Amino acid sequence: MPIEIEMRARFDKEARDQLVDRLKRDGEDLGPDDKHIYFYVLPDQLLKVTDNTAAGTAKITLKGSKIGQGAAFAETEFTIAPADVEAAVKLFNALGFEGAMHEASNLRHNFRFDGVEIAVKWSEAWGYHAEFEVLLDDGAPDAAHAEAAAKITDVADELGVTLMTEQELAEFTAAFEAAEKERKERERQAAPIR
Amino acid sequence: MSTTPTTASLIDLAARGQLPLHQYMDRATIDWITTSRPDLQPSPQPALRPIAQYLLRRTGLPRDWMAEPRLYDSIHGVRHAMRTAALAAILAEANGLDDADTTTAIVAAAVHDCQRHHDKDDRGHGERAAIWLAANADTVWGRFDLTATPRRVTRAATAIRLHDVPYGAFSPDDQADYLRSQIICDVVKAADALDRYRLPKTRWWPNAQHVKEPAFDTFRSLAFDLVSISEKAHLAGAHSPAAVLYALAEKELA
Repeated sequence: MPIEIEMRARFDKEARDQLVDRLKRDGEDLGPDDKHIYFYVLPDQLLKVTDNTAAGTAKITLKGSKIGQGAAFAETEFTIAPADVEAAVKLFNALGFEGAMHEASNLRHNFRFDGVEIAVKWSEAWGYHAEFEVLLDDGAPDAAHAEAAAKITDVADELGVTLMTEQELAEFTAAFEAAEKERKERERQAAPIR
Repeated sequence: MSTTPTTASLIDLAARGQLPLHQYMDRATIDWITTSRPDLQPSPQPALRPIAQYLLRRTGLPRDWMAEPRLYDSIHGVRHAMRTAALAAILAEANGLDDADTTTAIVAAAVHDCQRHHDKDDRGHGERAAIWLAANADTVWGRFDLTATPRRVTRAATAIRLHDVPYGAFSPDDQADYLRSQIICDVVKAADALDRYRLPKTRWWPNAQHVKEPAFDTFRSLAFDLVSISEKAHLAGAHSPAAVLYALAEKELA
């Protein structure tokens, strides 16, 4: 199971524009990678059904930890046909996970800069944000984890991006989950349409 | 994502006079819209008040509010509703409307087409939506965390009922209703008309002769950009509400 070392940053549109300008000038443009993601926030794990709409592919992913619980994410992943996304979501919902399900459209463009993959994204919940990622082989030593995290931090510094701390990520995702729970409850209680 | 459920694009079908009942944006049509952009003066950056920004984030209406669920992603579906609501907010600001009238215009714009049966000349859809709104006022205003007062409901329902009736075709009763809710009617009609850049013939695009809104021409460029950004985002795979919210973010509106 490969390990992703992931770190994130949120910013406003002006900072997004500056970051994209810099990455287009000095990085490698890997192209658009828009997605629609159905994610299930489970205790200590994150299950995702991802419709890679730009690439025309789809996949199911189980991440071994949630955002805000460390930068290292062990993941199990397999591809499915894009036409099977709806059935996969129905299946997980039928298994009892519907209450933990959220969905989000991600407008996303990928770059590589100094060995770090950077996805510059927008979603309704996160606004403009970026994900910095280094992929490690399964069984990579702790030193490699630390080295990857340091590499990401250096790249973010070089690009003038302030990465979110684990505390900030945990608070942000907790606030999102609480707001989603409230929204679902309000929709459940709304009077039916006549 | 959604494409026209025929092999032809909307521009081809429009040229042949063969547009189907339910019409979905496609790549060829949005490319044609983009390349057909008129020479528009840049719009000033609107400064929407916080209540308007808050409401716009809630204009992605539930699918079951639509009389015809197949219209949810169509050219009169939720993306059109959300852009019309945003344009109503912009025109409300340009006209100096207070919070009460601004929120009424946004709510009316968001649901003005929700009782359409199809994307063609669906006569009476404004009247159907006005009746629907009166029957579901608490639910509709509740979605926006607002209270459905009689004045708000009456003014919004009037604007919705008259949005598909040309000014020149108003009956005496229409005229009397219009005069009681004039600014809401004018703003909703103009906002609806500004979103016509999504249509597959340039002669169907916004025409100031059909509206009574001094700021209409000022916001043509912004209206065009909202169509272009959100329709491209939708075709790239974003679900309809997210596609419009992304366009609003790109234009720094919400």
